[in-house]
Amino acid sequence: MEAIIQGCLEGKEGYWNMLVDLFSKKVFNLAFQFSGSYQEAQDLTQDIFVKLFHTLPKYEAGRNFSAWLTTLAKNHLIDEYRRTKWEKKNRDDFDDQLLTAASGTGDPEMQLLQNESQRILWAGLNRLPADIRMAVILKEIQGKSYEETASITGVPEGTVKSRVNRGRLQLARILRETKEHSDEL
Amino acid sequence: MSCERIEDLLPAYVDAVLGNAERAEVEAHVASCPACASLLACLRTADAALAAFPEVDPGAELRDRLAAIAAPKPNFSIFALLRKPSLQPLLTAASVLGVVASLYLLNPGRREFEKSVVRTFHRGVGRVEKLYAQAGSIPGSIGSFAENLYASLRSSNPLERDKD
Repeated sequence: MEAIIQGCLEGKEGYWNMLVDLFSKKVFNLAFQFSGSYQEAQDLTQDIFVKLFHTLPKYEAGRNFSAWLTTLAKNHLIDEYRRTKWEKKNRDDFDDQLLTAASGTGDPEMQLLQNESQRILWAGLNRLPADIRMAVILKEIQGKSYEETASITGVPEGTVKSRVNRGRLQLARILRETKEHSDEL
Repeated sequence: MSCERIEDLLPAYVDAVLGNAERAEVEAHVASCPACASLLACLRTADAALAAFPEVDPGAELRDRLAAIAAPKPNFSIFALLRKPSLQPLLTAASVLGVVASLYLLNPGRREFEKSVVRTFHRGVGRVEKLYAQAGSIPGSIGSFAENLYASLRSSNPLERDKD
């Protein structure tokens, strides 16, 4: 990994492409899970890699590059989320999203998900505050440990546990309410 | 224990990190509370569904966009532009024009030169006017010239001479 980064810093041909091949899927999926939109995730991934290109000289050799890049991506996603007020927009659309999620129709993103629960949770993630959503994505979807999640998010492990549990409970409530609502119809 | 308190304990119960006493309390409450039992079931479903979210492929188009970030940007060079073969005739014409313009603009006797150009122009115009006036008298003098020409042609033609 250090050799690839060194090659990128020296501008050697092919090294940047190696870095892209190794990490583009990982960064894209984080952006996709966080934003809920394939198109938005493509643009966010590009922004993150532009940032990576310019901040790569600041990377300290010997550090966990994957965690460093994930932190960079997380910071960009949360900054962008706050700057563009996705939260307000997504909350305004939330009821519509849940109804289409439960029915299995709607956005092409929904077609990727295997069952009704996943579709409801995908839409439900948008309802979580940014910090809680990021903790849930890193721990529950991407399977990172509490320690890794704490390192990426820059908060103590206890705070991460609290955020993850609050997020899980909120998603469980959304799942229960949506299923009860669809049972009534 | 209230439902609110039990709900807070449910994630730790699912993760099996509760102490014996709290675990027993949760189990007893859930057995008698359908709302909390439903929430517990949904929490397990949500955990399983989140863990099974598929990884999505970002696509080749995005990969190309990312690879292009480090591609060297073409530097604009005025010398490269000047060396373009297609521009050579234009540059030659511009150079010639530049030399002529500089000879004229930097010439110390430029005013005298301008005066002589104006004088020559007026002289030329006067000559043209004079020629135009002379041309007005041509139709009058061409009549006798035509008769003389006709007579000389007839005398040089043997057929016409025999007729006479």
